[in-house]
This record gives sequence, structure tokens and C-alpha cells, in this order.
Amino acid sequence: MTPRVADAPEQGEGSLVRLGMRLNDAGSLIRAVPHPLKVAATARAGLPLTAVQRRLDLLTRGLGLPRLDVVAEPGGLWAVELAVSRWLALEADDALTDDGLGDVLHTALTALPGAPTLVRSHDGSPLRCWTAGPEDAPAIVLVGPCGMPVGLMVPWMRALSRSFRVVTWESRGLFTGTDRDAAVRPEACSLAAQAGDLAAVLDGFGIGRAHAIGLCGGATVALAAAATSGAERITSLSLWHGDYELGSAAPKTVHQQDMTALLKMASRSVSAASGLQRMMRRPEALDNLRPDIAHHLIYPYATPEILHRYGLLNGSIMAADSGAFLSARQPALVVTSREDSVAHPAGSEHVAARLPRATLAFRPDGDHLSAFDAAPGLVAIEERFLQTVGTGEGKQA
Amino acid sequence: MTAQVESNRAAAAVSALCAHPAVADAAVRDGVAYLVPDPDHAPMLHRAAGIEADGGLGTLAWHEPSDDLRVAGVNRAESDFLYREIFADDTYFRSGVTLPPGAVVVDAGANIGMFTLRVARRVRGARIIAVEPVAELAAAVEVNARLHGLEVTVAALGLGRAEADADFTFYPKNTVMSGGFADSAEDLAVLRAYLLTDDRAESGRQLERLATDRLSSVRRSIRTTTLSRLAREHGLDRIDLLKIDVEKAEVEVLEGIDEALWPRIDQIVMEVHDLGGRLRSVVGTLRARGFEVTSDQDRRLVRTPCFNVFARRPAAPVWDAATEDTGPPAQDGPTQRILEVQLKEMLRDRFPGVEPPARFEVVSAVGHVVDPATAPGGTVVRTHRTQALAAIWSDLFGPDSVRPDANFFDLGGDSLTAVRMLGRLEDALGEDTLAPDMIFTLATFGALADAVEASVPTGPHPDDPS
Repeated sequence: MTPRVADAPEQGEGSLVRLGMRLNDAGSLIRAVPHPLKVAATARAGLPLTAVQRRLDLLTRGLGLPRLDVVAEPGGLWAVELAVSRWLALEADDALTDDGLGDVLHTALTALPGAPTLVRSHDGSPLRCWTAGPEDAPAIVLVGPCGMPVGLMVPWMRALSRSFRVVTWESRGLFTGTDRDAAVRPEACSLAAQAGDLAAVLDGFGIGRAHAIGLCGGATVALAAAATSGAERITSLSLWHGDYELGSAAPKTVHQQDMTALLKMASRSVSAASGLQRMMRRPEALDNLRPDIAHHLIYPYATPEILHRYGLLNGSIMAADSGAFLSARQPALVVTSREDSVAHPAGSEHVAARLPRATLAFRPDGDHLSAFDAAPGLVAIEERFLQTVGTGEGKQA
Repeated sequence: MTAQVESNRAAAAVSALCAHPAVADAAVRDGVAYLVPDPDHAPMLHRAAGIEADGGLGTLAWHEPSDDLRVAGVNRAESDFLYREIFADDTYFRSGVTLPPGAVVVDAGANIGMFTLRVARRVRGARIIAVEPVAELAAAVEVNARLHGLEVTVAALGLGRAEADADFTFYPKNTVMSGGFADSAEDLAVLRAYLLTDDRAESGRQLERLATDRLSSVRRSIRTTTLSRLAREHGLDRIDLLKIDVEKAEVEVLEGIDEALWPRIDQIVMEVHDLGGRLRSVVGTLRARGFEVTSDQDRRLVRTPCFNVFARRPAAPVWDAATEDTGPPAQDGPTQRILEVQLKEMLRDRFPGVEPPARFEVVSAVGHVVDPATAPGGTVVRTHRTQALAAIWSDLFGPDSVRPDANFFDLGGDSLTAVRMLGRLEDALGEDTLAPDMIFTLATFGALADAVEASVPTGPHPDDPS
């Protein structure tokens, strides 16, 4: 089934459509946490929450999601429950009807990112992958930050899939719930293995050449893939607000240092991750997270097991020397902003200065997370670059 | 120094401390002086120790926003803000607002009860109804009434145009902006504007982060009632002063006053959020009800839409301000801050050349400090492990923050600050020094120091005292 490209969760035809799409958007997180997950609904006089529960049950069943328990009070909910509650914004609303449930489910399931395709990486690790846009269009592979659900990449998929075939995937070992032993072997967690996943995804969709777009930690993976796969496979690359380890060559933000410490602790054992996860369960963990994407950003903290694996996988990415990949000769666009307090802009400046064919673009404003919004101005920057470099064909020759 | 000399010196220090009339008993241990306040000469501190000992303080903390006032509060910065607004600037007692002896006062939007305390200090025998819908804040009003020996009726409700269940947004780190009409964007703009007027204002991203952090919110459902119903239930046949600070619900409070109650209200002081012409509307309503009305704006709030409105019936008697009490009641005794200054001075006089205790704590009985395991706030700097924690804590929050009662959250700590602290602790003391969630469950420096001490792996460190 080819997903429709025009739908955004906020653009549904009614409250039920919007709810269905938001549920689907939070699907990765809802599936990952222990059940049942509680969600708070806003009560209104005379309108019982049982109606909200019944409607939610119909939707979760139809979308293949676990049941969510509706509660009246957000007090006592943990961070994931609060993030999902805020995102769903359930209300006892007498205007909602169950009419056209089939259409609602169809809309939610066919909207971007659509249904995943399971692809095996070269070492057998299963990867949940998505594709959007015309199959015969030039291909772009989107590389998101480690541990982020595909929903975070949907704005870029939507923006680019009108003219390109866009493919992406969710990090190995964190989403599929299978092959657990494979994911915790050290070699399965390395940056090399994760860069290899990019090639496996292209293989899985029969794509010979592609432009790679990496965001945040995904920029490091895209850069490593470009350097190791060569220009025949990755023809060009765009690195948005990249999070790089460059030793003394570039400073890191406090956030980068904190994340490095957190990943190191989490990677030690599931037990060590468990203590950190208990800390992140507190509602205050959401304090500085944008509510429209908090349900994505909090995914790595969903369970102790996931957090431990996140420590191993993202820890490998953040610890790997990005300087080793700066010989990549593909044309590259490096984008950052002085307002990025997450990934230090000096890292991007250094990468752009050392890559043989890089262009550095400083956004006049915009923080780190705004890079994921794929606002028209950002898409225009990307499209201008794509026009200058041309792009490879879609199907493998 | 031998242990005997140390012991003798501590005994002498205890003896000297007990010579102060405000100190009934004392103990000195690990550089900390534990003081039992005298019930006659330090009644406020004595009551504070009793409240803390029986668990009445709950999740609140003691704050001393001035040399003569101690309160139970939620956030230290907010207690300071409320003190400055209500006591130092005397925001509400201007434009002819006075109180008769035995005044009946309704404090709508009481927060921790700072205005209630102001009224109680200004006029003896006042009957005060403090209305506060946030349970944590209503609890603070109760504690503060107990601390200051006041008869205050606390109604844990919101005031509105009708009896109803209403949505309410509680900002735990910025309680003063909590309300039923909270709007995150609007409130962020107001807070940002207020922060910008601070002499020490942050700028740019740091300001944004500070403002956003302070406005992390919790949604609640609260019960509202009308002022008329409240007056009936509490048998108020008149209200000498109605104070309203209810964060954009001020119009709703006025709409909850029926025809019978309006003429029985003599004076109103209120904060009005001038959004959508509300200031003009409120002033018009009050004038139509027969009040003389003036309004002004705090210089610190000039970038915000917040105005003060003073309404007074022309026929209301004017009470001579000179007859009102304006200072702290002498029978409260000293605050801990002042007592510490006096005790340090006294010890320096008695024992020249010997540094007085680094810290003072108020306790209900010295028996509590004989066993270090039950010492309030834990003990301080005992081994290199606590010293390592102290160094990290000082780097994160500043040297003044290394106090047993210093709370991780009050100091602005969050999840990533906790990770930073854990990472640095691991670098200094090895893995598993502290379970991550302990930072949140223990929260204070003293309790965390105890945990760090307890997690010692094997044998003493060469730098530790033998």
C-alpha cells in the first residue's frame, strides 16, 4: 500500500480522524511500554469517560495497538503516559461519533509513514523500514537520530516525497522486539553496523544510489555510510545539525556531555539502565520537551531494556571519531544554527571545513528540534542543494 | 588535636550557645550546631521545630525572605518574590486602603499565605479567610498560620462565578501563575517580560530556558464556589477588605458576588490582567457598584499586562495607619538567620581564634542529633566521599548551596543535571556510588551525602579521618 503524502495528523477531517492519526503516530511508543498504558482525558460535565474509552478501544483495536486505559486525572501517571495523554488530548466530547470508523482507520493507516516493511540487515538484524513517493523518482534515504520513532521523520518524508522516493528506518535492536540477543553483541551495536543498515535498507527496496540526509546523530551514521559505501552508493549527503565526536577539534554542548554520561551509564547493564529509567519516568522528565514530539523524544526511555540498548547503540555513535569519515568525497550540505544548544554548531563548522566538497549553511535562527519540522524554509535549502548536485535513479540498475 | 580536646571544645560551645536566651538546648556535631529554640524567647522557631518534628512541614521548606520573617514555602524564589511584593513594596496597602481593628479580610488566591501574614501583622484580631485551590499551597497557608500562631480559615477552593468543577493549571515551579485560565503562550510572555525586568536578567536562550522550565505544568480539576456562598458559609456579615490575585479569573470572582453582598464589601484590592480590555471593564464594574477606583502598575511588571486596582467605598471609615501594627510582633522572637548571626558573634567573643560551627539547624530536641543516623538533614563533610559530592554540588549550584537542607529541585536541578552529577560522582568515586533515582527520592544534599557515605565500597580512604 502506498501511503498518501498530503495528510498531516493535524489536518484530518474530524476529531476522530485526528485521534486515529495521533494514535498511529504514537504507535511505536505505545507498543513498546508495558501494558496497560493509562491516558488521561479531560472530563466535561454530563459526558462520561466511558464513551471516550469505547471510542479509543475501537481505534486501538483497528490500528493493531494495545488497549489504553482512560483515566480522569493525570496525577500519578508516569512520563510516557503523560506524553501520550498530552499528544492525544482526549476529551469527553459529545460531537464525536463513531460513524465512518472504517474510513477513519483507513485514513490513519494509509497516512505517512504508512505500513512498515521488514528488512534484514547484513548481520540479520531486523529493521522496520518505510518508503514514500514515486518508485521511479530519485531516491533519498533519511537517517534519523538513533532511537527515534519514524514519526519524527514524517515531516521530512512528507516534504520530499512529492518529488523523490524517500526511504527511512528505525534503529536496529530498539523497535522490533525480536532478535534481542543479536542486538546486544558489541559488534551489532557499532557505528559500522548501524551505517551498514543504511545500505541494507537501500538493498531492501532495490535502490542502487541515493542522496542521504542525516539529522542529529543520524548525520554521523550518514557520514560514516558515505565514507565507507563510496559515491556509487551515496551520491551526496546533507547533514542537518549533526552531533559529532571530534575530540579536541570542536567543543560539545552541555547537553552532549550529559547525554554521553547517560549513555555510558545505561550501556553498563539493564540494571544500571533501570535506575536511570526510573528517574526518567518522573513527569518532570517532560519539562523541556516539546509536547508535539515528546512522545517520540521519550521513546529511548520507555523501558529499562530499551534504555540499555539505546546506551549501547547511541553510545557507539556518539563515541565514534567522526574525524575518521571526513575524507568522504561526495558533495555535502552541512546545516546548523547558532541557536542549536543540543549539538554544538562548531562540530558542523569543523565537518564542513574538512569535507572536501562541503557547503556550510548557517540558519539565521532555529533550535535543534526545529530541524525536524521540515518547515518550508528548510525544505527550500535542501531542495536547492539537491538541484545543484542532481540525484541518482530510484530503482537499482 | 586530640579527641579529648575536641570534645571539651564542643561542650564549651554548647554551654555558650545555651547562654543565649533564645536557645533552650543545643548540641554540636561534625561542625553543625543543633539548636532547640526556647518557647518563650524564640516562639516562632520553637513552633517551626515542632511542625517539622511532627511531619507537618510535608513537602514544604522553610524560607526566610527577610530578617524578621520565616515562612513555609514551595519555591524559595517565589517566597522572596511574594515577600518583596507584599511586605517590602506593600503593594496592597496603598491608595487609602486601611484596616479597622478586628477586620474581616478575604484573601482570594492566597498562595502560601503571604498576604494573610501581612494582614495579621498589620492589624491585631483580624478574621482572615484564605482561599487557595492548590492543595500544596493551601497546606502552606495552614502551616504558616500555625507557625505564626494565627487563627486563619483556609478554604481549599477556587472562587468563580458559580459552584462547579473547573480545569486548573498548576505550575509547580511558578505557583504564583497557576490558574484556571492559564495559557502557556500568554503566561510565558508574561513571565519572560517579568524576568527581563530583573536587574540580574538572563538573556537569549538562557532566559527562554528559565521561563519555559518555570512553566512546566500539571493539569488538575478544582472545585469552585462563589464569594457570596463562601461569605454565607462562614457567616461574614461584612468584608472590610477583599484581596483578589487569581491569575486571570478576577472577573469571575466579581461575578460570583450577589446583590446582597456587594454593599457589604468596603474595600477591594486586586491584580487585573489587562487582556482584551479587562482593566477598563473591571474598573467600570467597581465604579458602577459605588467604589472609588484607582489603578497603577508595579515597576517590575511594566512589561506585563498586570495592574493593581484599588477600590474603596467613599463612606468607608478611614483608619489611622499609625494605629495599625506595621512591624513584626516582638513575641515572634528571632528568625534563624538573625539567631545565627548573634550566636556566631557570641562564640567568637568567647572563643577567639576558633571558627564557630559552619551551620546551624533548628530541631525540637537534641536527642535527635545524638545518633547521626537521625540527625536532621544528615551530617556534613565527614569523608572524602561527601567532600567529593560537595565539590560537584558546589560546581552545579554554587558554593552557597552546600547545605544539608539544600534541595536538588529548589536549586533548579532536572533529569540532565542529575545525569551530570551522577557522571561526575562516578568519575570521582567509581560506579554505583548513587542509584540515579535516589537523587529524586532523597533530593537534599544532606540525605544524598548520607547515601554516598553508605555506598562506600571497602575500607577507608587514605584521606579520611581515622
